[in-house]
Amino acid sequence: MKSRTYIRIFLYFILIPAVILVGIHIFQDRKYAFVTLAVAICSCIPPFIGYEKRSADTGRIVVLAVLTALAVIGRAAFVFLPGFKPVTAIVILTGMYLGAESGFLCGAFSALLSNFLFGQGPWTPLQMFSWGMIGFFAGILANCLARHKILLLYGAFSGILYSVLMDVWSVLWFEDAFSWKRYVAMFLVSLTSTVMYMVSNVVFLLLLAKPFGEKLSRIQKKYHL
Amino acid sequence: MRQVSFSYPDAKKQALKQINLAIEEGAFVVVCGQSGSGKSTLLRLFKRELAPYGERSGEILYKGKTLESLGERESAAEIGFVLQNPQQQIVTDKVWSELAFGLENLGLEKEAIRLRVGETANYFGIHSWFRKNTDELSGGQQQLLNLASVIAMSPKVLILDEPASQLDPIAASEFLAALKKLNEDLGITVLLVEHRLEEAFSMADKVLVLEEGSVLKYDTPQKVSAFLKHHAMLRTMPAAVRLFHACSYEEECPLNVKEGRAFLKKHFTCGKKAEHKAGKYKPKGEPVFELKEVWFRYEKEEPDIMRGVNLSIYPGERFFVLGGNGCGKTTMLYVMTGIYKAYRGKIFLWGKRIKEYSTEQLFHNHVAVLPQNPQTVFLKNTVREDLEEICLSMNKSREESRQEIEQIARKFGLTPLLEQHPYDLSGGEQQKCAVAKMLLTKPKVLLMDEPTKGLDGEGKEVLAELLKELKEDGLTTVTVTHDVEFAAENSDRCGLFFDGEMLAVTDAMRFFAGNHFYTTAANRMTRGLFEGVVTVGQLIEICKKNR
Amino acid sequence: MEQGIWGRFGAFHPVVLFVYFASLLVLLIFQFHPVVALLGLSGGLPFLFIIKSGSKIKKMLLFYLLFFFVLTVTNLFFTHEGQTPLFYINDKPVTLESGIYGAVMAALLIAVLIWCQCMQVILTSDKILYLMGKSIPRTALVFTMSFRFLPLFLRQMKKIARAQKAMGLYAGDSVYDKAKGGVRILSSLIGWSLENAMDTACSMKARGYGIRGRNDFSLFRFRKSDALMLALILVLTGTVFLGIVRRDITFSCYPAVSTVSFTLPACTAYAAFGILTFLPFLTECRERIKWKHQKENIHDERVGDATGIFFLPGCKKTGA
Repeated sequence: MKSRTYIRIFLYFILIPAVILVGIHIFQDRKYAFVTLAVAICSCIPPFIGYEKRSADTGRIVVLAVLTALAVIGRAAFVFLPGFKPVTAIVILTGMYLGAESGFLCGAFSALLSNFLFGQGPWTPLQMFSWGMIGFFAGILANCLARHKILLLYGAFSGILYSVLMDVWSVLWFEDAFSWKRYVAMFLVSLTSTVMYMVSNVVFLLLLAKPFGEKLSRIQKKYHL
Repeated sequence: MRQVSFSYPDAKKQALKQINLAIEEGAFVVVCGQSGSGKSTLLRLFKRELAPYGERSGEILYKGKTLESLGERESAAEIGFVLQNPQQQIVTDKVWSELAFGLENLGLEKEAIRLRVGETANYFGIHSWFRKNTDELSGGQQQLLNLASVIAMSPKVLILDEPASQLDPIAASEFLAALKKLNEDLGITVLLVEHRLEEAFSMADKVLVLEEGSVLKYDTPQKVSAFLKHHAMLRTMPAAVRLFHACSYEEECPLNVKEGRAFLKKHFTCGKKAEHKAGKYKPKGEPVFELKEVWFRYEKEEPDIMRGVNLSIYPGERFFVLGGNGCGKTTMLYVMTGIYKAYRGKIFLWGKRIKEYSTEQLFHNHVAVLPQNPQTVFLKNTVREDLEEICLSMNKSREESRQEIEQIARKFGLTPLLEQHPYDLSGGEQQKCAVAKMLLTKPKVLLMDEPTKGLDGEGKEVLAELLKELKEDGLTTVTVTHDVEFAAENSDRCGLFFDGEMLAVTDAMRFFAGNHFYTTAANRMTRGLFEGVVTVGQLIEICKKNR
Repeated sequence: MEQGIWGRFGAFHPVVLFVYFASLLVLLIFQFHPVVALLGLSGGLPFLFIIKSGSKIKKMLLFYLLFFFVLTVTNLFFTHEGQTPLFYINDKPVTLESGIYGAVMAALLIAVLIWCQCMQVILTSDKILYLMGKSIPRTALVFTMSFRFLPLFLRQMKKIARAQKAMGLYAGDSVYDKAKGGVRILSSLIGWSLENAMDTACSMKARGYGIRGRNDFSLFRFRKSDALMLALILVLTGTVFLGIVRRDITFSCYPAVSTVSFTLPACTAYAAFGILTFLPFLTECRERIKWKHQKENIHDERVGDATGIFFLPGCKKTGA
């Protein structure tokens, strides 16, 4: 066990910063793009390892896998309404009910998995990061989110967050410096989809929160998870 | 097993009472009993990892040691367990990794796993689909894979909870044959709950009959069947057993078709033709449904599923469509209702083109479809809410719908179930609730897709009763099934769907008497001995006349 | 996911493939250089042509061309840095430099997209899982199981949709009906999948999941050819990195477009990168030539057999 702790300390405090520093040195003209991507990928490591260390019961593992698959399927269920997707809502609810690490896993994996269907790209790590973080914080804020209004607020906020993260990243990617002008342009172009994200998150949280909670607590009781 | 009693939390009655049982090594034991007799509970108690929560007294010994004192590795590897639903038991996405899953858990060396997986795949003939995705397999293959991945861990005891109930008849017999082979080749002790007794019964060394949580009888199949003469469970026994009891001879009881034929030859003068009233069924009136040269395929590039189907269904009849697995029977149902659009040909409902009905018109007051899996029908937390939803969508007031639900619940005996969660009900109860939900749309035609799937003998009887009642109420029913015995007993007319066409549409008796393979056990037993026998009832009747 | 194990290149060990795609993508994403973009494109396209069907590629190429054009033009109007104004709009210069920057960037981005597509075909889910399973087995299991559930749920979703439609609920074609219907289907699916998931959990427990000391199994073997390939990839990548660190290959657009250097160290780095990008395509070509050769051999043998029969003692008469 002890050696594992050392490995983790080494990983978090030495290896990851080292990779980033060396990367910045090597790719001087593209350092911002490098840092964003490196941070996105590296920030997946602690929750993954954290989940590994948790002594989760088999039933909970299956439930997490089910919810992740559902989040991906949700993207397919509403193909006729672009932008109107329940993915974020399911990720948030998963984080709330199963805890922060599970929320992260659900978010990150639903991004990775759905891109197997919709196309992988350099955006995959960023999506994994954004959705993962949305799920992670939903888990941390679980107690606050138990109140319905705050939950909806969080849903709307994560719609904006997701959109902003993606836009900022696109700008950094292309220009390797932050340019307000390009950002504002990106923001305006993606405004409709941002609004759509917010609305769909709120709508789906509104519709799904109750049945979701009921169904989960039902099987929790029935099978003693 | 010594003095084992068990009760679930919050339950008033004990699920198992004072059970004493000894199962010898290498035995093939079939466990039967009516639903709620504690079969599943008993099986799960044998497997420590799956033991249900609740209070248990007494002790379960495995090779002289209590189950609790077994190491976790030993317990996992030596006692294998296969459940009912094939697709839900599969954990990974590739066949090979599924086979290795248990061995990985045991922490075997990589090379050892490789060898064991290879051996097992070979034994079960899985090697040809070894690298496939688990999802591409048929239900039968999936269940075989589940069995194989348990066998890969080389268990000494194999426990199976209704493993063949979700399979079609052919896959089910293959599965049972594989079990028998395992039992004979490898000496694995088998404990099987199965309601397809026609085949399982004659395979067994011992049969265990449970009733209300206690052992009613635990003996050889012959003795058990002799014992059950006056018991309600007799109706679920193989045709040969039922015949034997109806005629009361002092000798060994025949268990399967082969022994049944010998029995018939020995005791009866053969060669007579059966007379039956049902054979005179003639359809009356104008057809309800009419299909004329209907063609269908899912995608432009895919092959045709229906190739010029012609079919007329007449008011008030119970029509059955039979056919093998994956032949497109289900698809036909949905094409008939216009949910899938035929690309050629015409479909009429009451003489009017199906296209001319709006979805709402069609499914309110005209047609209802009962899907294969009743679980797809439920959405809410209680049966009542689910039924209410339908009533409200029919523009009824709350008061009206409450009355209507009470009425239908009383008719179907659902009143005690109304406040329960749909998923807590047994398969038969779920089926009934789904039918009730469908009937609330006030259909005149009810289409049913494999309604007997996963039902035990009792459930089937309830369903048969229901079909009769619906007929009396003037409903037309179209049932798609591969359950030959059920169709023979309950249909007015039948048709065989094969290769995209409807073949041999005729009244039920002529249909089954004319078929060679696709027919009932009673018919196979009497082939060449008596003519035209289809159901066990007819068989018994004709035998009594010809002693 | 179009082809399971694709050709010779896809048959390399997952570690080899991972290292290959990781180093290639890192270089394409972070090394801003026209030669890198050009090599990335020219190495990736022919490989993509082998592994994907033609009709899809045509559409895609058209899309990429449009994409290239749009990115280049928009950059002209967003960035006004650079020394060589082409013309002025609203007193702001539209410069040659920003045009070139946009073009190189767009080319790089398209190269990345093309290689991502190749990666998706080659580095299939089971290989990714193998890579994850080594270090984070439980997390990887969640991923495998979700992957396994996807088609299962999709099928169930279709069944639910069919059943719900056949009850005449929200079966209209309006967006409201569709959305409402969609939510109902999703809600029903959530219930079904959670209830039935417990069967999966039982089957896992029954097979001893959760016992300490789980061992990971896979069908992949690390062979000698894998080692050789891995070494080659590492050497090539190392050479390119050396070129980058030593600043042998640098390129910038602002304030003025720098010249592309063609010194010996720079050319070495280009060459290494070129071989790296063409590696999959060449592997495939070599394999095809070998097969063709083999087929001819087989064919020859058959002809040989036939003539052999011809000269068998019994047949001599007819032969003569």
